[in-house]
This record gives sequence, C-alpha cells and structure tokens, in this order.
Amino acid sequence: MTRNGIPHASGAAPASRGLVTRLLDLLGNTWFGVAMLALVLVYCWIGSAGTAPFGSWFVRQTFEKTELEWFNWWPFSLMIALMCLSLIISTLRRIPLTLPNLGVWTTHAGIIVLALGSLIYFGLKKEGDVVVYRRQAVIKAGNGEPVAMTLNHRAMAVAGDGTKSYRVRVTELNPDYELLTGADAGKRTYAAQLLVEPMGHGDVGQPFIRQLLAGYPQYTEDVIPGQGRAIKVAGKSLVDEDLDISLRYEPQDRMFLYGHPALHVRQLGSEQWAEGPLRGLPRYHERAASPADVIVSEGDGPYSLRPVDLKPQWTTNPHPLGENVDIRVTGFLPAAQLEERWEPGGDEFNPLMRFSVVLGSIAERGTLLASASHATHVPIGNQVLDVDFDWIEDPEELSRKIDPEPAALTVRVAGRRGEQRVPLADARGGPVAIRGTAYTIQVVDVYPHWTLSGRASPGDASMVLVRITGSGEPFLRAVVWPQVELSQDIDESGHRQQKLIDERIEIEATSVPRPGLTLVAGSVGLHAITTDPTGKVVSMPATLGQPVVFPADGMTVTIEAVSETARLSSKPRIIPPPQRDIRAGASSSLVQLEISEGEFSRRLWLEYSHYTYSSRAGYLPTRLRLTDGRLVELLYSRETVPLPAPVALETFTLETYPGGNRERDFISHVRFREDGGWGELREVRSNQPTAYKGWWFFQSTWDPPDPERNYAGMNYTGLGVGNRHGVLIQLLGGIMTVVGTFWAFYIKPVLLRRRLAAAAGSAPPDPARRAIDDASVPLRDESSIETPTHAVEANAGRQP
Amino acid sequence: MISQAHRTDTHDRRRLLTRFVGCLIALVIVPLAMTDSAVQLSVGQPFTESVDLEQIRVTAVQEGGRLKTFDSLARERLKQVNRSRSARSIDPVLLYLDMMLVPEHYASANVIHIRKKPFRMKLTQAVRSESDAQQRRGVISDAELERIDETGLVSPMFLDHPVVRHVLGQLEQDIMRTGKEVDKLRTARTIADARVLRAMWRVVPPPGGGALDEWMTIEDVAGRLPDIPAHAAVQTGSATTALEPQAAMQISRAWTDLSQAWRFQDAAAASQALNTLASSFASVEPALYPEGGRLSWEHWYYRNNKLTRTWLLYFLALAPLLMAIAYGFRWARILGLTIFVIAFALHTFSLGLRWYLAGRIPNANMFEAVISSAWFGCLVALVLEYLLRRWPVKNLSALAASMYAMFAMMLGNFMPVWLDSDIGVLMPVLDRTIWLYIHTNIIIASYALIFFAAVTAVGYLLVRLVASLRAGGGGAAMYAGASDAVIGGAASIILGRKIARGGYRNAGLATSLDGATMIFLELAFLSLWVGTLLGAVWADVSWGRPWGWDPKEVFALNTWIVFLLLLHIRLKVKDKGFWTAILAIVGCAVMLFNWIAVNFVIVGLHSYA
Repeated sequence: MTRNGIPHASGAAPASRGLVTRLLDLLGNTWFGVAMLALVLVYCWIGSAGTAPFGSWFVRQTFEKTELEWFNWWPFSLMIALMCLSLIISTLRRIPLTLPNLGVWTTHAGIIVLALGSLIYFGLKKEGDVVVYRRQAVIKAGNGEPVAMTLNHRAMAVAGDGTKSYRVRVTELNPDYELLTGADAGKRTYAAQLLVEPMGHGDVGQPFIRQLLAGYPQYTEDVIPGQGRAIKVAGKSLVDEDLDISLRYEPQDRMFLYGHPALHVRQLGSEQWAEGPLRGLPRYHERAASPADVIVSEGDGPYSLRPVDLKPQWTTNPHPLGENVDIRVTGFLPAAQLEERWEPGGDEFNPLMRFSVVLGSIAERGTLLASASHATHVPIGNQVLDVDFDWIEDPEELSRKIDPEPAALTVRVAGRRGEQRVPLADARGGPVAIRGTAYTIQVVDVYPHWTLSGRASPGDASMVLVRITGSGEPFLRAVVWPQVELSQDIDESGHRQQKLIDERIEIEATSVPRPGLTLVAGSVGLHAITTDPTGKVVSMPATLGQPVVFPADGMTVTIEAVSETARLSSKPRIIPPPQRDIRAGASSSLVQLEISEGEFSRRLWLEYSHYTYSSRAGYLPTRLRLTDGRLVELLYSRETVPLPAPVALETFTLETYPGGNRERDFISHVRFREDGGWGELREVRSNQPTAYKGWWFFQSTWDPPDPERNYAGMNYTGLGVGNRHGVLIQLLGGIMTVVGTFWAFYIKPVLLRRRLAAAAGSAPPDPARRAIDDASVPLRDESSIETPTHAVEANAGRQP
Repeated sequence: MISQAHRTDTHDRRRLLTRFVGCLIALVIVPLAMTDSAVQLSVGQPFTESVDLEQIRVTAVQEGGRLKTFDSLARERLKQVNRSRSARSIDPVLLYLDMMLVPEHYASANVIHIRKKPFRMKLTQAVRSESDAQQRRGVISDAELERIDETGLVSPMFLDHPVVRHVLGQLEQDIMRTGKEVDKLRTARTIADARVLRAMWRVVPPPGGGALDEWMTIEDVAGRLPDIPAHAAVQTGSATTALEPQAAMQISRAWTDLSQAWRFQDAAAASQALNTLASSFASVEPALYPEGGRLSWEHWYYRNNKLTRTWLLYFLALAPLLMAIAYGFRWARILGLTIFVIAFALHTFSLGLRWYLAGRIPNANMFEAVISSAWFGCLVALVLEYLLRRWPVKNLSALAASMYAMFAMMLGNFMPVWLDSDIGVLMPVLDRTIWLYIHTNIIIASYALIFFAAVTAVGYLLVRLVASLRAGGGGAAMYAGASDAVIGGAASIILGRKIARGGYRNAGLATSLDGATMIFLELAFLSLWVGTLLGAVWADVSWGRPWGWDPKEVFALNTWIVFLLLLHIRLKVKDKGFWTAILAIVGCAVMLFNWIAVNFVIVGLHSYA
C-alpha cells in the first residue's frame, strides 16, 4: 500500500502538485465524502417529503418527477457517482489494507457494489401490471367467424353467419359454482350464464340462457326463461345447436408500465390499438391549450394553464390514423372531472339563455335551454325557484303567458251529457256540486310541480288532489295534468289504488298555475314573468344585462346572455387540491388532444383508463368521427410492453378470515404459453410470486365482490410484473456492507487487542503503539490518520 | 400585636390555601362531573348495579375476521362512537346492550363524541352559516351549537338533520383537512344505529359449519326485534337456519325476555336471560366455540388496558437508575434493575398474551410495533447490562430502555385509538410470511436503539451544559477532551483496558454517556441497515421490487445516512462527544419522523407499519 501523494497534515501543499493530484486530494478528502452524503440526504428528504416538516413545498412535484424519476435523475446519479469516487479514492489512499481494516474495505467495496447493482437495476427496470380475466366465451354461429367475448359482467357480443345472428349477453358469472350432480358432484368451478337473443326477421326463436362451466364443457346446457331447463322442456340440452359457445382462456401478452402514460387509438371494430407513449407529459401541474378549455371552481386556483405541445411517440406506425390526421397533446390535468354543459355556439337552432337571480342576500346563476322539457330548479337558500325558458315568436303566445286562462277542473260523468267546468279557485273554497249528479268535488291541495317517480323528471306534471263524494265512501283523486292517464284514486285509509275507485267520474285539470319564473326571448323580445301559487302573473320587459326587479317577491332577475344556437361542450372541472385523493394516482387525470385533419382541427379531453380493456379500475374510451367518416376510438392509458409469454388464468381464489368478509389471501393459478400449448400450472399469491424467463409475476390487484350490487367479482386477477436485473449484485453489496460493518465494529477491536497483547508480551512499546495506530485509523482522529508516524511519535513521547 | 399579626397572616394563608385547594378540586372534579353526566343510559343505576353481565361479557363474537369476546367488541366499536371521559366510565357491554335493546333512547341522546375540537368548531360554524343561508336560523339552537362546541357530544338526530348532512357533505369534500373527520363521524353514526350493532353481534356459531363460516346474529335466529316497543310482539324464527328448533326457541325466548326485562329494568330477569343466552350460544356448536380460558384471558387483557399501565413500573425504575448513574449507589442499581426486570417481565407477559390471543406475532400495527419495539429494546438493554456490568456505562442501557418503554407504554395507554390497540387480523401481505418476523423485528429493535442513543446523547449534552455553567464556559473544552479518550463504542470496551489504561474504566459521566451513545449507535446502525436490506428482500418477494423509493424506505435510508454521517464526522472533528450527541439526536428525530409523520401523513406502501 503506497502512501505517495498524501498531503502532509500540517504542511502547505507543494506548489508543484498537479491538477490531478489536487483533484484526487479533493475527492479523497473525508469532508468531501461527508458533504456528498449530506447532499444525498437532503436530496432524498426533499424528494420524498418535500420541505416537510419545515414547509410544504413539494420540490419533486415542482420538477414534474415521480419518485422513481426523481431518484433516476442526473443530479442524484452525479451525487452518488461523486460519493463513490470519493469513497474509492479515500479508501485507496488513506486506509491501509490490513486484516483489521478489512471491515472498512469490505463496507466501502460493498457500497460500490450496491451502487453498481442499483445502476443496473434501475437502468433496466421495467415494472407494471396486467389484468388477466378468467375466461372468454368464443361464440360461433353456424358457419360464421368465431367471436370472442371477455367474460365480465357487462360483456355483450353479436355473432352470426349471414343467415342468422345472435346477441349474447352475460347475465351471471359465478366464481364458485358447485356441481351438484354427476360424477363431478361437489367440485367447484367458474360458471357463466349467457342470455342468447336470436336476431333477424321472422320467427328466429325465443331467447334462452346458456350455462357454461369452465373445465366441464360436457355440462353445457340451455335454460328457457320462465320454463326451465331445456332438457326437460324441449328434450335436448341445447335449444339451438347451430350456436356453439365455449369457454377458453383469456390470455394477455402485454403488461402496462407504471407511471408511463400513453395514447392508444384504433378504428372502431379493430382489436388492435396503436400505442403512442407520451414521454414528457406533465404529472402534477395543470396545463391546457387555453384557460377557456377548463372549468375552475369558485375560490380555487389560480392555475398557470400554459399549453404543452407533445407528440405521441407511436410505436408501430408514425401515422396510425393516416398521414392526414395529426394528433398532439396540448393539455394535462392531474385531477379533474369532465362536465357537460351547454354553451352558445354551433349551427343548430337551440335557444340558450344565461341568467342570474338574486333573492334576499343570495344570488344564483344558471343556464337554460328553451328545448328543455321541464323547468330548472334553482335552489336559493331553503327555497327552490322553478325557472323556465320559452322562445316565443308569436305575440299571441306571449299574451297567453302573460294573461293565462284561469285554472279549472273539467268534470265529466258517465250518463250525464256534456261537461262541467269548475274554476280551481271555486273548488278550493268548498265542495262544488256537479250538476245533475250526486257528486261533489273539493280541491284538497295543488302540487304544481309533481314528481312522477320513475317516469319523468320533476316538474313535468302538476297534480290536483280532489276529494270526491257522491258514490259510496268519499275518496281522493290525484288528478295529474297534462298526463291525464296517470291520475289515481286514493282510498280512505290512504292507500293508492291500481284502478280508479269510480270510473264513472272523469276529471281533468287545465291551466294549473305553475309558480316560478319564466324567461322569454325570441322575436317578441325579452320578458321576465313570475307566477305565484294562486296563479297571479306579473310580467316585466327585460333588457340584456339589466336587472329586472319584482318588488312583491323581493327578487331581481338579470338576463345575461341569449343565443339562438347552443352546443353541448364537455369541459373538465379541476378538482381543487384539498379535495384530491392522493392515493388516486393518475386515475382522475385527463389529457387534452388537438386532432388536426388538414385545415380542420379540434380539441378534446380524454379521461384516464388503467388498461386498454374493461376492468373495475375504469375503462373510458372516447369515440370520434373523423372528417372522412371513419369512427375511431381514443384512449388515454399507459405504455405497454410485451410479456415474456402470454399468460392465462386458470383459477382465482379468495381466502378469507373467519366470517368471510376479511380477505386473507388471493391465489391465482396461471399458465404461460409454451411451444404452442399451455405450460404447467403456477401458483401466485401474496409473498409468493412466480418467476418466468427473468420476470416475476406477483399478486397485485383483484376483482372484489360487491355484495350490495349482488356482484360476486373474482372474474380477473391483477398480476404485477417486474424484471430484476442487478438484484443479486445489490444483495451482494448489501451483504458486504453488513459483514464489513460488523467486522469494523466488533471483530477489529478483538484483532487489535490480540495484536496488542502479543506486542506487549514480546516487543518494546513503540512497535505496539504503531500496530494499533496503523490498524485503527478509521476510528481515530484524522490528524493521526494523515500523520501516522507523528501520531506514534507523539503517543510514544507520552509513554511513561 | 406580633402574635395577632402572625395569626392573621397564618389565617390568610390558610384561607388562601383552602381557596387554592378548592379551586384545584373544582378544576378537576367539576369537568369530570360535567362530562360524566353527558352520556345517559336508558336504564337507571339500580339496574346497572345489579344486572349480571359477567357471562355475556365473555361470550364469543365473530367480528372483523376473528373470534373475540363481546366485551372486546363493545370496547372496540363503541370507542369509535365515543371516546369521551364520560363514555369510558360506562361499562361498554352495558352501553352496547342498551343501545341494541332500547334504540329509541339513543336517537336523540348525545352519544356520539366529536373528539377534535377544531373540527367540531368548524362543523358548528358551518352549520350556523348554512342555517343562515337557508334562512333556518334557530332550527338548531345557538345554545345547542355552543354545547356541542364545548362537549363535542352530538346525537344521531343532530347528524341526520338536513342542514348538518349538507354541511358534512361539504366538509367531506375537503379530503386534506376535514374529510377524514367526517368519515369518522359517519362511522360513529353508523355504529350508533341499533340495527348495525345487532348485525355486528354475531354470536351464534353455524351448526355443523366450518371454522371460516359466518356466525349468525341473534336476529338470524330469533327474528327481528322491533325498534319501537309499541309495535307487535317479537317475530320469531324468521330466519332460515340449521339450528335445532329447541335451541332456536331457547335463544329466541331468552332474547325476548331480555328485551322486556331490560325495558322494565328488571335486573334479575335480565340477568337470567343474559346468562341463558350466553350458555345457549356456547352450546349450539361446541366444536366451533373458542375455549372459555382464551375468552377470559382476552377479557382480562382488555380490561387491564392491555397491560400498558406497566409504564408506571418503568417510570419507577428511572429514579434509582439515575441515582445509580449519578452517585454510583449500589443499592440504587439493584433496586432500579429489579424494578426494570419486573416491568420487563410484565411487558413480556403482555406481549406473550397478545400473541396467544391474536394467534400471530404481535408486531403488525402501530400499537404492536411500538410495544414490541420497546420490548426488543429492553431485551437488548438487559443483555448489555450483563455484558457491561463492570464498565462505567452500566445502568445507562437500563435507564434508556426504561425511558423508551415508559414512553411506548404511555402512548399505548393514553392514545390507544391513535395507535390502534385492538387485536386485529393481518392484511394479506403480512400474513404467513417469515419476513414479518425478521424484517419488522429488526427494524423496530433498531428504532429502540436509536432512541437509547438519543437518551444518552441528551444526557451527555446536559452534563456538559451543567459543567459548562459551573466552570464558567470552560466545560466544553474539558469534556471535549474527555470524550476524545473514547474512540468508539464497542471498541472502547474491547480495547478499553489497554488503550485508556484505566482512564476509561474510571471515566467521568460525560465520557460514559458518550461511550454508551456510541455503543447503542453501532448496534442501531447495523440493525437498521440489516433490517432495511432484509426489507428490500421482502419487498422483492412481495411487490417485485426490492426498492421503490417509497417514503418509508427513503426515510429509513435517511436515518441510516445520518448515522453514516455521524460515524465519519466523529472521525474528523475534535469535539467528538458534542457532534456525536447532536447527530444522535438528529438521527432519532429523523427516525421518529419516519415512524410517525411518514406513516400518518405521507402515503406509502408501508402505511400500515
């Protein structure tokens, strides 16, 4: 071990030292290593926790880096490289390779090995996941092409051979079906029930359910709804033997990389997606082509909504939709929700109005469409104001609005000629006799905005509750207007009757006043009209942007904008940061695309889908018609890479704790495609991955049951997939550091003690001291390290 | 005159003293009395005092994936409803039964406690504003809102009020600040519903069923108990069960009897019905029923606060150990170590009992990790005390361990909900893996050692400070020189006799503290690194990635880097003792930040550990 070039601790550096020597001195200085370590510490801290607990600046997010990217960034690599260099130089120059110092050498070497292993590991690391469904149904109708349908609870497919076609839908999937009869009784398997609806002209046959059991094709049978098993009803297991449906594996051959966004496009009908990784897409900050392209909630923001300009790096074809179609990413929102709303614009006649209303101290705004079938409910404090928008061209129509007919009930009685018109106001006052009959009617209550549960939106109808006497027991009739046919009778005890109690008497209500606000536009000009519950109407002319005051109601109305045309726009509303779920990851992110076709271009937002196919994690493709008529699908998801071999799921089992509602383990049995067939069964469960061609497959996600929706789940397993290059080198480095540290802390002193004991017994004191000093440098003061001879001399001088 | 003045003075002082004591009593008693009257049972004191709950208390209930006692269930779930002092003073089994049997009483009773004052202030403030906005001021009176501000107690009826629901909906959206509290409140509201309490009370094992099969609720067997007593008699036998008709009838009848007796506050009849129920549950399917001993032990463990009051023993050990360190009294050392060993024995028993009750190693949640960490620390301290019994660093291990275990046990005792002290089942990734035994234990042991080092480091700085004050500023140099004699932790011990030539053996307190800090740090450094590496191996097996820069991983690395810095800085600087102490404290702070802030604030894959 040479000590040439080591500076003298107390002396000045010789002027003749070269640059290399100075550099070596600098890098080999312990303080330099300490400074690098401190920098690594600071870098790690702010990368993980930002400036917490001393502030709340998320430094890493400012630089748009994920954790993996932050620690794969060049500043960190540079620091680690300098630290390793410092370690190597200082070890070589300062620490003699002796038996006691073996620990320090091993530790330092271990750190270098660990760093090298990590360089390989992180440099080559690919990790992601894949969802593998249990089965697909392969549907073959007659001589037609087979159609594959992945078995999930929303699956549907159409198969045919030109003469006959079938629509097949999943009605039930049972992950744990028990075979009750036959030689396999007691065994459990995956079962699918498919509703088959024959399609075509004439008598194509009735719908039936086909039941299929995974692994037991011999038990496939049909059930005729309402009648029972086909074997019992029709004497044969299958209703329609032209239709062949079988269950097969649903293998996956690609995995989705974590944290690698990509755009996927395909023409509708195509199975294959073209994939364009979006490298450089922001991760944490809002960007948009124009601030007008997003909605910011009141009190939120401001956001610096600069555009991005990113071209997907298409992996297969540089122009997946043709050379004429250019797709660029112009915006990104980390957390937003698409909201549809009407805006002025477009070509179609569709009058739209924006208004505001102030009642007391509360102000509300709204947008109305003249084409809306019912009034808009505007909540103001604890009241609800019903606001309608009418586009009126005919002055007479306006007159009818301003001066409506008085509300009345029209009564017809079987056997009595003609009808009697009873003003609503009269019938409210007390019973009114129907002339020529024994009937009397009395209005009990009026519901101007009656909710027709399950039939239509609120506000569609009015209801007048009328008490009728004269034929047996008195009863109540709910007279609905204008949907007369929905009128119902209510008996004494308050029960609604399926049929009218007395069909001889017919009552219609007309012109029932609807309290609220009606805003009018059109060639008749702008008007604001209020109606009170008694039917009293107040009309005021209005001017765009000018408040109209209704003193009696204490209400001020302003028509802010009117447009003859309107179009539905879909804009994302940014989720304010305090409302964001930080565990949601990319799941609520959106990208904005600009799609140019020659001169024509348009922008649209795409929501995130975790995979390019359906799963519980969400699947939200967007359809778009190009100018040439082609219908395409666009999907914002993740970059994929091929798996070493297609992987299929044989079974997927959930193990629970006692009681069945706490998961204990998830067990996937998978097979890999090998030599044209399926390989051996491999088990994957928590803490027990399976390795295949250098990749590890481990249990990652699952399809959870949802008892509230009567959904049994367990239709797919989610497998994490990752490569592990360099892991063994990392492990070796780790072991070396542990062994070395143990040696330095506990073995070395023992060696020194023995050396001392030996020296004390056989030699004069000076060599003994020297032995200790040579060996114990890492534990001693730097001054004694750099000038061992002096230290020994100094120590020796202090010997008694 | 003098005598009179003296008497007056004495009299005044007595009066002042009386007033002072009176005020103190008022300060302590009045709030207790006020809060104690807050949760009112539907039954009176004569009933509660004479009803026999001892058998039903240790009835087995299947909940949360395990079989526990009814007492455990009542404690665990009602804790989510109300953790106020007043609720803690009520027998949870009594309260649970009362809430199940007399639900109408609890609809308007202030039984739900909003613990965090800032949140409840925010809630009441928002309710006021919303009431104004909806022009419904006064619907919930200001006095009521003020009472809620003060006590935090609300009724289900309050939470169901449209204005409150609206406000909660708004507060829920603020995930960062109030969302979690709204979730807790909603959970409390759900649990406070008698139907939910009855649905959780799965007390009847399925006849002929397996160990994993779901147990039945009382209503599965006996039918629905009407929520309003004025309604018809109990409908019996509505559920389809494989239960023997006779057993079903017996349970059904006892349940009806209990309901009636409870409402009529007939303690004797209620006790009889409860005991009949308890024995009936056990006899339905004896093969599935846990043995009585285990249930009794669980009840004992829960009733005794999971033995976390052991902190008192650790606390008692501190004084004699400090005296032994400061003055070298042999009797103090013996006394301190004796108390420490007794506390450790109790600590060991508590963990062993928990292991037996949980059926797995108790290191899987925050409470278990904290208590186990302290246990490992104490174990290491005992070994060190034996190995270092002839060195000046003796007693320091026991002192640091007592302090750490005391804090750990105090956390468990006073903050059981924050730490989650309930016995639960393991999540899949922790279940049936040897790594839980290896990685977790090594890491939590290293945490204990890091804390020990911080204790002795603080001691070192204090001793220096005192010396510095005494010496008028010259102490630092004096002790810097003293600490310079120690070249390392274990090395000092192994080489001490030779190198220091008697110096270290008879070293001063500062040198001993510095030496002990290094001994702990070396062990902590090594165990933290080994634990982290083994964690990486586990992560590789479990998640397919040995290292993912998860915040927990990064902060384990950060802690280790601090000690790496310490070891190298100690090589370079003159004043080794000072910098060692400072960095040991910094390392401990980083460790605690990792354990607390990273776990509870910064989300990562390790959020359960």
